[in-house]
Amino acid sequence: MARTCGIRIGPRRYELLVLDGSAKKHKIVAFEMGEFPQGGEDPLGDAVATLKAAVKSSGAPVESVGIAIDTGLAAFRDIKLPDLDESKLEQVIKFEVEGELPQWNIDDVVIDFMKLDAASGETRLLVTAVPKVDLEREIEVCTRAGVEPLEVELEATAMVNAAMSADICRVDEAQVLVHVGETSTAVVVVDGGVLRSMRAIHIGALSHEPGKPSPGAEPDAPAAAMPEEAEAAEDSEADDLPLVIVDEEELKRMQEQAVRRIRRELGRTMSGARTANPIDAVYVCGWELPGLVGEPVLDVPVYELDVFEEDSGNPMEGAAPLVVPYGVALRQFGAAAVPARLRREELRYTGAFERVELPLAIAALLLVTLLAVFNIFELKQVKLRDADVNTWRESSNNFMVGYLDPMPKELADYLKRIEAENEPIAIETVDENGRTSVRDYNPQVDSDRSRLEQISYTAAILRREVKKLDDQLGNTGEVTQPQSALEGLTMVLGTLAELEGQIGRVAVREVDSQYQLGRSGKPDSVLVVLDLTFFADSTVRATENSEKFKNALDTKEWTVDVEMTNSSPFEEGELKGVTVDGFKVLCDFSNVPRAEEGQA
Amino acid sequence: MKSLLSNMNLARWIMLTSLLLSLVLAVTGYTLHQRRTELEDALAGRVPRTTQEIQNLALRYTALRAEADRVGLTGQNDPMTYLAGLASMDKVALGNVDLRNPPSTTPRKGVVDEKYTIRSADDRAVVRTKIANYMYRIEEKSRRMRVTGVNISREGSLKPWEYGNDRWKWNLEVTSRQKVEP
Repeated sequence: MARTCGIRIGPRRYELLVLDGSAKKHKIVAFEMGEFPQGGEDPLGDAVATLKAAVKSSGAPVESVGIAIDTGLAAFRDIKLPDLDESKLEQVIKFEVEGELPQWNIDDVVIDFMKLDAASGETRLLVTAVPKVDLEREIEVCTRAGVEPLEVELEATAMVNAAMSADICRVDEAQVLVHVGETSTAVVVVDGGVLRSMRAIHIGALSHEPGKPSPGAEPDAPAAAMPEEAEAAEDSEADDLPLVIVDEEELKRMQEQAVRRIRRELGRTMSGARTANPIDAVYVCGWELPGLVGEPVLDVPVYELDVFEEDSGNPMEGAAPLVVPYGVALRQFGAAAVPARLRREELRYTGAFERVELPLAIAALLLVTLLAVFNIFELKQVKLRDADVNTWRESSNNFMVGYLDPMPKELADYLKRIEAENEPIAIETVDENGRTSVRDYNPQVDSDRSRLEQISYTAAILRREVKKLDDQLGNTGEVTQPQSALEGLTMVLGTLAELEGQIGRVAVREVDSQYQLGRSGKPDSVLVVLDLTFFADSTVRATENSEKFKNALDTKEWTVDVEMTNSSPFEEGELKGVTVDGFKVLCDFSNVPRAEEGQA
Repeated sequence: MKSLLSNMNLARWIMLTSLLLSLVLAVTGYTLHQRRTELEDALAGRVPRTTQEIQNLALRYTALRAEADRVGLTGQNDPMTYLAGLASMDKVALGNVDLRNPPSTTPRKGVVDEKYTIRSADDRAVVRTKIANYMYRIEEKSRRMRVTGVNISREGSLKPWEYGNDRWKWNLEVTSRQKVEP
C-alpha cells in the first residue's frame, strides 16, 4: 500500500498527517501537530529542527510529501480570458494578470490558475499569486527537514480537496468552507460541487498577538495585501497596533473581537456570493475559535468541517486542524478536485530521478546479474582454456622427460618443487575390460606461475642450458676452430683419386699435414707435404703425370699454393718413373662453402 | 554525507550497491575476458610453438650434453680419456696410444688452444684405414676438436719404387680451441 504525507506549514504552527492506502480507501497512520519555536536566534533553524523531529516521529514517507502554506500569503484574482487551451493559457496568464497585481513585480510571484467556468467563448479563471520568496522559504524549511515536497498548494485548495473527498459539497447545494489560520482565514465558496470563489481574510486566531512570522520569515515582512482585502487588512492593522496582552480578560476580549470580524467577513462573502444554489451551511476547520462554530451567519448554520471517516485513525476531538494536511495527503494519492500547483518555474519539483529510481534500481540489479553471469561464463572458459594449455604442458613434459638425459638440475628441481606443492589426486579409470584402476595424478600447479608461464619457464630453462652447453662446446661461432689437417689431407688425396687412370700409378710414401696459424695478416691454412712416386712407361710420361697432378690442384678453390721442386727420375728394371719428395700444397678452407648440419 | 544517507531509500541503496558491485564485476570480468583471449591466442600459436621448441631443445640438450660428456666438459670424462677411448673403438683399434698434453698456446687474444699429441705407445705400425678412422672419429664426435697435425710414414726402410706392406707409423696432433673466460 502507498503512503502519502500532507503537511501544513503556518506562521506559528504545523500539522502533519500520514495516510496509508489509496485515494478511495485509506487510513490515517500518523499525525503530528505542534508549534514552531518562537523568539529564538535562528527561527528558520528552529523550524527545520521541529519539522524534522515531527517527520521522523511520524515515519512520514519522504518520497511522497505535499505541503500547504498560509492562504494569507496569496492574492486571488478573478479574470476572464478568451477560450484557450491549457498550454496557451500557461503562456499568456502572466501578461494578463500583471496589471491586476500592481503591488508585486510579476517575475517575483508564482501564478497559478484554475478554470471556474466557460461561456460565450470566454473562460473565467481564478488566479492565485504567491510571492516566490515566501514559497522558497517554506520549501527550504521542508527540504532542510529532509522532505522534498512534490507539490505546494494553499490551505484553501487543500481544504476544498478534503471536503470534496468527504462528499460534503453536493451538486444541489452551495457551501462556504472556512479555514482559520494563525494570521489569516481562508474562505472558499463552493456551488454545486464546483469552486466558485476563494479569498483570504487577514484575520486569524492569533492576529491579536505581536510578531507572528512564518517560520524563518523576516518579522517585518508581511504579505502584501490585495486591494479587495484592503479593508479587512486595515481593520486588522488597526486592531493589531496596540498589541499588548494585559490579562486573560483582555485576551478573551480580543479573541471574541477576532471571531466577530471573521463572522462579519463571512457575512460579507456570503452576501456577495453569486451562487446558483442556496448556501446551506458554513463549514469551519483549522484553528478552533470559541463562538465561531455553532452560531449561524446570516441564518446559515456553521458546522465544523469533519472530513474523516469513522475509525480512519483521526483523533476523536480536535481534528479540525488536520483537515488541510489531510487534503494535501489525499492530493498525493491523485485525488484532487482542485489541483493547485504552486511549484512552478524555477521552483518546479521535477522529481525525474524519483520517478525513475525504481526502474533504475531494477536495471542496476539486472546489470549486476548480467555482469555476474558474464564473470561466471568467462571464469569457466578460462578454466577450460587453462586445462587445454595444461594438456600441452603435460604432453611436452612427458616427451621431454623421456628425451632429457640427464635432466638439467634447475628443471628437475623446479618439477620437484611444484610436485611437492600439490597433493596427488587419486584418479579412477576404467579400461575397456571394465577393470577399475586408481592412479595418483599430481596437478603440478605452480603458485607463482600460470600454466602458460610454466611452459614458458620450462622452455627458458632449456634454452639457458642449451646455450650454456653451446658456449662450452664452442658452438656459438664466437671462437673459430683451427682448420683441420685431416680435411687438408683428405682434399689433396681426393684430388689424386680424381685423376685415377689419367696419371698412371702413384705411390704415397709419406704424408705430413699441419695446421698453420695465420700471422701478419695471412689467413689460417693447412700445409700438406707428400712424398710421392709416379710410375710410368717412361720418366718423361711420369714427369708429365706429376705436372698434371699439380695442375689439377691449382684449379681447386681451396688451393693457395702448390710447390713441386724436388723430383728425380728412376729406372729399376722394368719400373720407370719419377720420385717427388716434399710436394707441398698450401690449403685454406675458410671460404669453402659447407653444407649446414643436417643438410645433404 | 549525513544528509545524503538520510535521503537514501531502498531503491537508492540497491542502485548504489549495484553500482559498486558492477564496477567490481566489470573489472574482474574484463580481466577474465583478457585472460581467456590471451589463452585462446596462445593455444592458437604460442603454446604449440613453445612445446615444439621444448621438444627440440630437449633433444638438442641431450645431444650437447653427450658431446660435453665426451669432451670432458661435464666432469664425466676428460679429453685424454676420451681420445684414448676413441683409439680403442671398433674399426680403429690402434692399441695403446701415447697421449700427451703439451702446454696450451694462445693463438689470439681471448682464446686458448689445448693441444694433444697422440702416437702409438709402442711405435707399432698399423694399416692406414685404422688411422683414417681414428681421425674421422675425433672430428665427428666433437665440434671442439680438430686434427691439426698428421704425420704418416711407411714402415721400414724402403726404396721409393718399392711396395710396402701398407702398415704405417703415425703421430697426430689434436687441438681444442676454447674461449678464455675473463
